[in-house]
Parts: sequence; structure tokens; C-alpha cells
Amino acid sequence: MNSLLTYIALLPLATAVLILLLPSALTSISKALALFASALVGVLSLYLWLHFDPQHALAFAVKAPWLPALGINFELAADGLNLPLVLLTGLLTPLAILGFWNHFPEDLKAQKHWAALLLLMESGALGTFLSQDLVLFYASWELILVPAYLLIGIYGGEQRRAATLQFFFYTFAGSLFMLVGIASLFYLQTAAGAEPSSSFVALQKLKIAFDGEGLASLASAQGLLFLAFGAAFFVKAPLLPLHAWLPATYRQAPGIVTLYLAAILSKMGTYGILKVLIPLCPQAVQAYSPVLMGLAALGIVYGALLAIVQTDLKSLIAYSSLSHVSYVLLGLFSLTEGGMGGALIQMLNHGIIIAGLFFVASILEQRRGSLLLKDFGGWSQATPVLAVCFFILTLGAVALPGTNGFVGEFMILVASFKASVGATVLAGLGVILGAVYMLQLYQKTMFGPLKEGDKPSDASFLEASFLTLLVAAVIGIGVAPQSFLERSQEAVHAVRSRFAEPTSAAWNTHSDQAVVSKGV
Amino acid sequence: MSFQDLFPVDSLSVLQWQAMFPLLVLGAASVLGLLVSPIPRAGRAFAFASVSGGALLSLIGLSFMSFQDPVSVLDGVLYFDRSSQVFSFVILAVTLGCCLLSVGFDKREHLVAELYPLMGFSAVGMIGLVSSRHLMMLFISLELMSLAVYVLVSMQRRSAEAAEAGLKYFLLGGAASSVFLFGVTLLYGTTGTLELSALAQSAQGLWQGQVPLLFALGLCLIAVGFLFKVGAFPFHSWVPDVYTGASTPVTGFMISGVKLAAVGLMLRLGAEIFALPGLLESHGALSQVLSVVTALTLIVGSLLGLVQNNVKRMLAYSTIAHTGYLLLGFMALTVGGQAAAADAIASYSVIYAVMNLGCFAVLTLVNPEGHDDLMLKDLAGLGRSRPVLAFALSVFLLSMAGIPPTAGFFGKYYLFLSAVSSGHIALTVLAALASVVSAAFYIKPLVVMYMDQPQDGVSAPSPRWFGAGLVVAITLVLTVVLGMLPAWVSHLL
Repeated sequence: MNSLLTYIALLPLATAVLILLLPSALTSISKALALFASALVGVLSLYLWLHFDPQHALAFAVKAPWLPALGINFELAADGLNLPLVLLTGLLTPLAILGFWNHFPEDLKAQKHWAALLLLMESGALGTFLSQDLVLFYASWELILVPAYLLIGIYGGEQRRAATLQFFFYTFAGSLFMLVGIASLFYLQTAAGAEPSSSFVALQKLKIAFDGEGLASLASAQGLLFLAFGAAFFVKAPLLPLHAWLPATYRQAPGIVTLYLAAILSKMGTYGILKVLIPLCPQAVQAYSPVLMGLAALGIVYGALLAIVQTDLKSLIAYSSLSHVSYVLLGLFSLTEGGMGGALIQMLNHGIIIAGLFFVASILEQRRGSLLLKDFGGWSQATPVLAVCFFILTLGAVALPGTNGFVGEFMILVASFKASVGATVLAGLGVILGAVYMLQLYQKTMFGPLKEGDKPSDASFLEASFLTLLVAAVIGIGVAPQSFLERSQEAVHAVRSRFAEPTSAAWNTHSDQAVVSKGV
Repeated sequence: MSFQDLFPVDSLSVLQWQAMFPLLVLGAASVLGLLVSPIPRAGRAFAFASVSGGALLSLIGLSFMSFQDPVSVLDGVLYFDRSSQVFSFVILAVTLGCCLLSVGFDKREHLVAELYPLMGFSAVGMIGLVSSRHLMMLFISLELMSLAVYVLVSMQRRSAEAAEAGLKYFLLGGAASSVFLFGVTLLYGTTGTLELSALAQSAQGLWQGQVPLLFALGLCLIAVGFLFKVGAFPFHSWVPDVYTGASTPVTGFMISGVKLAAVGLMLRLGAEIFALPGLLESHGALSQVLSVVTALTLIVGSLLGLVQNNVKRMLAYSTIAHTGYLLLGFMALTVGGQAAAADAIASYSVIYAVMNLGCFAVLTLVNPEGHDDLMLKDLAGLGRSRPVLAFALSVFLLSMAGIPPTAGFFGKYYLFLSAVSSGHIALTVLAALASVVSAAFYIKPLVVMYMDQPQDGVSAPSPRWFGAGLVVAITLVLTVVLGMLPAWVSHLL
């Protein structure tokens, strides 16, 4: 199965092209075709996940020359870092298409565009995660931009134009800095007398100078690279204060796109930090870690505070997403094994929970024709299935023990406490605020009297299946996180070994659970 | 006294005749085209057939040649090597493409049949420009190319704008040519030769640590000449007016053909003379001026492009910005790492020609009838009325913005790479910023095409000319394929 990863990464792309070329008589099957292709990818990624051996550093590797003169290869491999994200993308895409089956636009031509553009985004995301070559990583990374732009710009809400422009410029500016960074890496390689290669393995052998005190260190080679790559990743994640594009974009994008942006695309930023930024600029990240942790902790509180005052559903969830992604960033920048491992599983968890929340928002919007919180109330009576699923997702979002959100946030907070007490205290405040806005959201939509003239219908079979699977994942990972953690342990350890200091022991969740039981 | 002394020129060998084949065939075809174009009614068809046939024949001939060993005619007056072959190939392809996309348009807009032979003559000049190492031949080729284009620009006879553009281009271009020629005389005066390699050799003997002022001045004047032709700051002011005033296929011809030839000239002069060791070091000001020119070209092109509502004018500023990227490569070329920088410039300009030709082929099809300019709002609803055209235009624009998986991405990447390798980090960062800004206007037509409704509810009718459609199809495939398989460009070079 050596070409497994090629299939996973390119099948959606090939299907997207096929869909775009479909003759008009066959447009009606575009949605089904997209579902079929993404389901196939889902099965393949599940196979990959089941057969992954954590001891094997780069599994299922594929390598073919792409631009040999510059040492650029088409190089894919699964490792402990991308495995959970590939699984997330692979499974979430077909499920989301299924869940949104009846939310697609009526117009067949529009359906065709949606199907093709969604698959393009899936291909871009999978390519970004699986790539072991920096230029391929960049190319896949950029593949997302245009489909997302078009989907939001053509099918988005009223103020879509401003939103798309913001989205485009923030992301594209970040990417171009990354491009300059990649070019500089080639230069550093040739300057060091090495063969140019954009393979991650080769790049990590590069010794990049880092010197100077405080701000002056930003001008050293590693400092500049940190800025170049950071620009791309921090925007995508996003890290405060580069988040300005997020609220409008999430708010204006059509439901399934918002789901995709929040659940999968934001992970590209956090994954980039783990896979590219930290290994390439270890000393720089270490030196700036206090600042970065501070920004992440601020992001948690800032997102939570703004979520509390939002008056519409989607903006509220958008800000909650900002807050939750900041946990991931906090874990990453703590630079401990526990923090990074927690961040990794939290990426998966956040993907699942936020997908569920945005999906619920889409259902509510479709039924009521509004997103304003004041138009909702009392749905739990009329829509029991929806209410239960929404409730479990809410619990996951507030990180109740037993849900997946708890595993990640707990690991992150324990680890970051060792790295920075101040940031962790601030983040802990965010946990409380998180409970406030999530429970408020649930209460305002589901409890109280039904609004006049509101006759909501419960989740349809397809919608309910999607939600049930997400809920199952929320509880499943919450109860048995080890099957995920053990697959990533070695890879996170390898990232951690880029630093000189001895590793901390906070990784193993068995000991964490011991702490929990004492605490409880 | 033997005849050999009286007429000391060797007969041309078969190999030399072969190498000159494209020039001769295209030249003859253009003359023929000129002769047949007055034929009533059928003149256009004959002229088109003659010139495009000639271009096709030269193209086929050229692709069978191999210039592993350079062929020199008359001591470098004509000099054919791999690089000149690649450039000539693209120039011929662009000429053929522009002939194709003018079919239909010429009749509707009452362009005279001489359009085709003039394009042919201009292309002959371009080929001469990229395959000569002799300053006088370079000048003559430059003039041959330019004179034909002056006429092409003002060809839309009933449009005041076209006449203005033609006159403006003629006056400014003539001035630039004379400045170039003056530079040539200064170089000749200091070195006593016009052949580039001899010139380089004798120049190096001239200076011991100190470059003579006259030589440096000559170089500056020559630089003014080619900076004008590529439309670099501060010689860029003609670009928007001329590109807007000329009829759309002609603008396409200028933007992809003339520009390409000027870059070929820049590349040759850069590699042969400007990169001479010790030259830029002893005249530090010269390289500083070049950096400033590069920076300002980038800034002017990308910032002024932002505020345009006229599509052709916007693309004119976009080409100024692209000139900035090319100058970035030129800076790298003069510092060292020559082969890599030359490759980067060559691949970028080839990619640039392809995507611009495609872009203008689409614009030719959607151009409103008569003398009205194509405004952004005219594109509204194109995504629905002509989805394929809209898709193609989107790909070309995204490629110009440098977004993978289009060819423009690798082109830009090569240039950034060569610039960073030669130590121009600040300029590269500036170029990246300029790319972000110019992406703002590349994305504008996409927004309008897909997100706006046409003003009166229906999009303007657009013709379905076969030639232009063919050009769109070929360039579209090339833009995508070269983006996915960038190694092909390097193989080609």
C-alpha cells in the first residue's frame, strides 16, 4: 500500500476536476460523487490510522521527484503529528457533506461548484498535513485559499465581500512571507554548502544562527525565519492580534464552509507551528515562548469575553473557536511534551466540537431563517434529538471530564502551568468564561418558552446521524484518549528533542488521570 | 591581392543559414503579407495566412534545431544559442497567438490588414534582439521592433485615444532609443568595439580598480534604454496610456512579446556587461540606483494598480509590478550566481508571456465593441454567462498573483530564490509585500465576475471567435501544467 497517501491526498483533487468537467446532463450527481470520493478517502484514512505504527517515524512514505534541480520532491508520509489531523479531515469531510446534504443550494450548477470546491479544500488540507516537503506543503497550503475565497464570496452572507477580502489578504500576506522564508532556507542551505532540498528531514539538519538579546534577536537568521513562517501560521490559526479576519469570515461563510474553516483549516496553522516552525526555529520559539504564551492566554480570554456579548449564534461560536484554538497555541508554545501532545489531541477535539457547533448553528439558521439569539428559545421541547446532541457538544466545549475537550485542555493547562504560571492563570479564567458563554448559548436557544410562530422541526435522519457520530467521538475520545495519544507520543518527543533541555514527565495521561482522581 | 582581402567576409555555412531560418522565413512571410494585404476583401485573410504560416513554419523549424554549440554569424552580429532559441521560440509562439486572437476582432474594429505583417516585422526585430551580441545589431533590432509597434498601437484609426497612445509611445520611445544609441557610442568610444564579449574583455583591460566614467555613463544610458522598454520606474509613465489606448490584441502582443524581447535584451546585457567583476563594486552608486529603481517599480506598479477601474489599465500597472520582479532577478544576475538568476529570469518571463497572452485573449473576447474601454463592471456576471472564459481569466489572474498550483507561483518562487541567494533580502520582502498588494487587484475581476450582477441584468454579448478561443485553451493548459510540473520549464531552458 505504498501509494496509499497519494490516493488520500490526490483523490479529492482528481474528483474535483472530474466534477468540474461533468457535462451539464450529469450535474445532478456532483454531490453524490463528492460524497463518494470523500468517503473513500475517509475509509483510507481510517485504514491508515489503524495500521499506523508509532515506532515507525515516517510511515507509508511516498517520494517522487518534482523539481529535482532545486531538490523539491513530491514527498508524503504519515507521522504521529499529522495522523490525527488526517483522520479528522478524512472522516469529517464526507460526514459533513452527508450532514449538509439538504443544506446545499438548490441550483444544480451551484451544487456542482460546492462539491468541487469542497473537495479542492480537502485535497489542500490533506496535502498540507501529509507533506514532508516544504514546497509541497506551501503549494497545498495555498490550494485552500482560492476555493475558500470563492465559496465565501459567491455563496456567503450579506457582507461577504468585505469578509472575503479580509480573509484573502490576511492569509495571502502570511503565505507570501512564508514563501520568502522558504526561499531563505534554500539560501542558507547553499551557503552552508549543503545540497538544496526542501525535505523536512534535510531542513532540520540545518544549523540556523540565533543570537542577540531581546528584540535584536529577531534580526538574526532564525529570528527572521520565525517571523516569516510565524506570519503564515499565526494568521491561519489565528494567534492574537492576527485574528481580525476571523469573525467576519466565519460569520459570512456558508455553513459547511465555516465548519471547514474552523474545524480543519485553522488546524493547518497550529499544525504548521508544530511541524515547521518549532523544529526549524527552536531557539527563537523558546526565547519568545513567554510572549507567545501570553498572547495565546490573552486570546483565550479575549475570545471568551467577546463570545459572551455576541448577539448572533455564528459570531458567538466564531469567537468561541478563537478562544479554543488559543488553548492549542498555549499548549504548543509551552514547549513541553505534555503541552504539545495536549495541543495535538486538542486540535482533533476542537475540530470535532466546533464542527458540531457550527452544524447546529446551520440547522438553527435553516429552520428559523435567523441567526439572532433573541429569535430563539425553547427548542428542547420540540427538537429532543438536536437538543441532546447539542448538549453533549456544549459539554465537550466547556471541557467537562469524560468528554474529549477535557483531555486536551487538561493536558495543556498542566503543562503550561510549568512553563508560565501567569499565562495559565489567565487561561484558567478563560475556562470559566467559556462555561459562561456556552451555557448561555445553550440556555437561550434550547430552554425557556418557544418564540411566537416558531415551530422547529427536529434534526432529520442525515443531520442526526452526523451529530450522533460527532457526539460519539466527543465521548469516545474523552473516555479512551490513549489510542490517540500513544500514536503521537514518539513524534512529539522528536519535536521536543529539538531543544536542549530534558523532557518533562507530564506527557503520560495515566499520571494525569491519577492527578484528576485525587483532585476530584 | 586576393579577393578574400578585398571582401574579407566568409560565405555563410549551412549551419548558419539554418540558424537564420526563422528570421528569414518570418521576414519573407511578413513582406509577402504586406504585399497581399491591399487585396480587396480577402486581404486580411491572406495577410493572416501569410504571417501566421511563416511564424508556424519558423516555429517548427526552430524546434528541430539544437544549439548545443552556439552559432555565430558575422562575428556575433547574430548569435544563436540555447537562450536565444528559447526566447525566439516563445516570441514566435506569441506572434502566432496574437495573429490568431486578432482574427474576427480586426474585422469588427476595422483594423487594416497590415496588422499581421506589422506584427511579423516586429517579431523579426524581437528575434534579432534576443539573438545578437553586437550593439549596433541590437539597436537596429530594437528599432525594427519598436517602429512596427508604434504603428500597431495607433492602428485603431478612428479612436483619438489610440492616436494619442501611438504618438506618446513614438515620441518617448524614440527618445529612449536615442539615449540607448548614445550609450552605445560611449561604450564604443571607450572600448573600440561593439561586439559584447570583445567589449567585455577590453573593458576589463581598461580599468584597474577604477571604471572610466565615460564607460559607466554609457552603461547608464543603455540601462535607461532597456528600462524604458520594460517599463520600469521612472520610465513607466507611457505604459498605462499606451496599453489602454492600443487595441486589445495589440496590447497582448506588447505585453507578452515586446516585453519578453526587452527582457531578453536586459538579460544579455546584464550577463555580459553589468555582471563584469568589479564593475558595480567600483560604482556603488550604480547598484544603489538599481535597487531604488527596483523598489519603486514594485511600489508604483502594485499601488497604482489598486485604484484602476479600467481592466487594461490595471493590467498595465500589473506589468510594471512584474517588471519589478524581473529587475529583482536582474539585481541577482549582476551580483553572481549568474546561471541560476538567468534561468530564473528566463523562466519567469516565459511564464509571464504565457499567462498574459491568455489573459488578453480572454479580454479580446469580452472587449466591448467600438472604442469603449473595458471596465471592471463590464465583467459582471461573466461567471454565469461565459463560465469557461471566466474560469480561464481567473486562472490567469491567480497565476499572475503567484498562487499555486499555477505557473506564476514557480516563476515568482524562482525569482525570490535567486534574489535571496544574492543577498537582496530587504528587496525580496518588499517584493512579497508588493505581491500582496497586487493580489488585491488581481482578485478584483474575480469578485466582479462571480459575485456581481450585470448592471442591466444581462451581460454584454461576447463573440465566439475560434482563434482567440484556441489561444485561451492552449495558454490555460500551459498555465496549469507548468504550475504542476515546473520541471518542464527548466527542461525547456
